Amino acid sequence: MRNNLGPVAAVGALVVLGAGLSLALFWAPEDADQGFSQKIFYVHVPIALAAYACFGWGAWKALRLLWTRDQRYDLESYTAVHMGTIFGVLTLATGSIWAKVSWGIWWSWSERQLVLFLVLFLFYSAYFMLRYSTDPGPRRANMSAVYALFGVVLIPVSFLAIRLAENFIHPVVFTREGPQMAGSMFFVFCVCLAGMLLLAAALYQAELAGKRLDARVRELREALA
Amino acid sequence: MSRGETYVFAAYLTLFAVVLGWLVIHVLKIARLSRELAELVELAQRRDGKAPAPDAPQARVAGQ
Repeated sequence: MRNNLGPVAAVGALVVLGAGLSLALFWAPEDADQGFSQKIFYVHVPIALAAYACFGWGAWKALRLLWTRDQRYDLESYTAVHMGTIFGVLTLATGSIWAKVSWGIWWSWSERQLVLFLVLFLFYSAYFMLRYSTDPGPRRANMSAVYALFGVVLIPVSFLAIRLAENFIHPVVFTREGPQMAGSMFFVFCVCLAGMLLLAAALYQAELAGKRLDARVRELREALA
Repeated sequence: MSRGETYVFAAYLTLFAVVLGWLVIHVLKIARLSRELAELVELAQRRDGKAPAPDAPQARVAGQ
């Protein structure tokens, strides 16, 4: 069966994310404290959640690999970690921009949320060093899968860090009482989150197709050599 | 443009630039694979003693 998920996700991302960002800029009300700069929230938080989703998806595929020993999951797990790292870079970049306009600094080492996300990002960056330091094959696939699974433990720690912190300047928006924002703001956030997840899905599908094609061309070259 | 608007614009632009950068890299990768595939098809056809069929590798890549 032909896989149409990639094109559908790409068109969906273009429409939903385009609508979400337009609503964020032109329709959502300005925050009473931060003013217009709070609109970075509509890209920063969905990007961070998309990064968590990609790392989680990579860990799920890694678990499937270890469970079934089916080598196709290796490429899927690797691609998900790859996309998670790209969204991780974006999270750090947009977060720094928001920190500069809100707090007057690009980075704060005393913030557990920021440092833990950086640790998560560096942990998954090291995944590539591990992967490319060993020869391709089942051994590399298993090592990469175990590493990707270990990393997923850091996701809830990173997510809950702001709730565990005693002194923080990073805002807590989602509490047990629900989202601490106006209904219209929460609606726009949900649209942006859906768009960002669709974008992550589209990039993942395209990257996976490219990597599979690359692997097939390599196999063909070896067969003809 | 106010200070807040400048930073919001910078954050949105960062997202756009990274996605665009990824797209450029991906297009270059597909172009490289298309070239490599064309060479391999030509090599395989030369081995079989057949003349290379024009556009065959491009059609296959586009169908991925």
